Amino acid sequence: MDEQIAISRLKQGDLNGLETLVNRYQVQSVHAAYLILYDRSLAEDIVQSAFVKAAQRIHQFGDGRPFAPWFSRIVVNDALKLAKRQSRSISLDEPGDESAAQLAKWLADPDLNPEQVLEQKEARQVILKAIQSLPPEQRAAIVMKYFFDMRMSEISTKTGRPLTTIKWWLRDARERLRALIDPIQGS
Amino acid sequence: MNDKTIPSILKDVLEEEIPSSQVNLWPAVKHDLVAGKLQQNQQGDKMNTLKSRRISRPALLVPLALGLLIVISATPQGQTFAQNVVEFFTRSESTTFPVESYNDVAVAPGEQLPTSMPPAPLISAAEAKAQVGFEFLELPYVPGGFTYLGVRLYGNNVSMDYMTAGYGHLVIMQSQGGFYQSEWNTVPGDNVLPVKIGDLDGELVSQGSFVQYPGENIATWNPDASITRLRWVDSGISMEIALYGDAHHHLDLAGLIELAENLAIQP
Repeated sequence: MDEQIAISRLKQGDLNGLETLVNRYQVQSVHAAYLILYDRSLAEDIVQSAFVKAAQRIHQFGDGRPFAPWFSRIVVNDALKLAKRQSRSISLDEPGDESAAQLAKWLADPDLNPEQVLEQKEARQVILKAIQSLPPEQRAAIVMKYFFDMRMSEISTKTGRPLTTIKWWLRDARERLRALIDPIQGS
Repeated sequence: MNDKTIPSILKDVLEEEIPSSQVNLWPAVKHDLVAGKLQQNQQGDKMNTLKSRRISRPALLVPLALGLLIVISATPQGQTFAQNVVEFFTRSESTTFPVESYNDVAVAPGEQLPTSMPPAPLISAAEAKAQVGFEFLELPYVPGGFTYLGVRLYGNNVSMDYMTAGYGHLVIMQSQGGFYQSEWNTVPGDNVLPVKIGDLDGELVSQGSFVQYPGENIATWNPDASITRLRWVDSGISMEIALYGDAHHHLDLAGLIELAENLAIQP
């Protein structure tokens, strides 16, 4: 079903319209929320709740507009709020296992050769942990940029951070990922 | 590696972490909405006033909510309470009400016409925090198209003011003493839309205001007046966001709700 038809049907109270939107956007949204929250159950809860919110507010949604940017803002907003609350009570300063400790060491010294820090088979976990070690707002910026293709100015507005900070965050994240991934891809 | 390769790398990593084939939210979303609709039918409300519930919790919450609903609807005190909770805008019974005509105001020679109270001086948020008796919410950013002017204090009521290049205004008002109510602020009932601000109930008047035209001794509801108002209560604080003039060109209704959701106590 076409997205605009799905939205029209949802506005008329037809839940089949919402089912189409759920099926289309649930995976990307859960992945995005997971990258901010690092908890699959919470990520699914956030996205589930976001779809319910979207359905409840669909009358506020203008005809002809794409659904994805509007919906992704709800997901990122809710995930970021929850992550901020969690980050107040959970310290990331003391990684609980060996690979996290290695990663913390690497983050403290970006010149360290990543190959010394990780083995290829651990690459996935290391990449995820590298992002997890960033503050929630920086993780959200990565999600907004690389999952939802938002403009820098929009990310700046959303996070309440200056444009220069957003640019630095994304460049920093890109460089860190590059340092982790390039050696793996080259080997 | 460049910006184009990062999304695919992240997608691969996350696909391994949470395979697409394992993500199926539709049954839970549908359950939440159907559970909400049941409650909607019992309350006689619209779809957008429903509270969502997690699929893991309704077994406990639904009977509790229904029990509370029965108690509320069965007692006069409960009915008054429910009405106060749900209605943030006082409904006007008519689209007009009598007022004193400009021409009826007697002015002695040498005296000036009475005018409305001038706006309080603009101060910084830090100054306002030191003076008011509650923690007020602020936006963590200046919305696109607006310039932040500052805070005005009216007694213990806080008003944050933003302005557009076209002299439109975005005003965020917060009060411990309830919403400012006067006949001018009433709204014909069919102009009030129930909305959700996060999990909180709110009410939106997308456009319109009572106005008094020169020479007339009645105030008339003008549905085309460029004034948008959103009201809700957060932690006992009465919250109102109002858009005046061309401000709505920079903020649509969904953006306004999002703005309200982003209000938070700033350090």
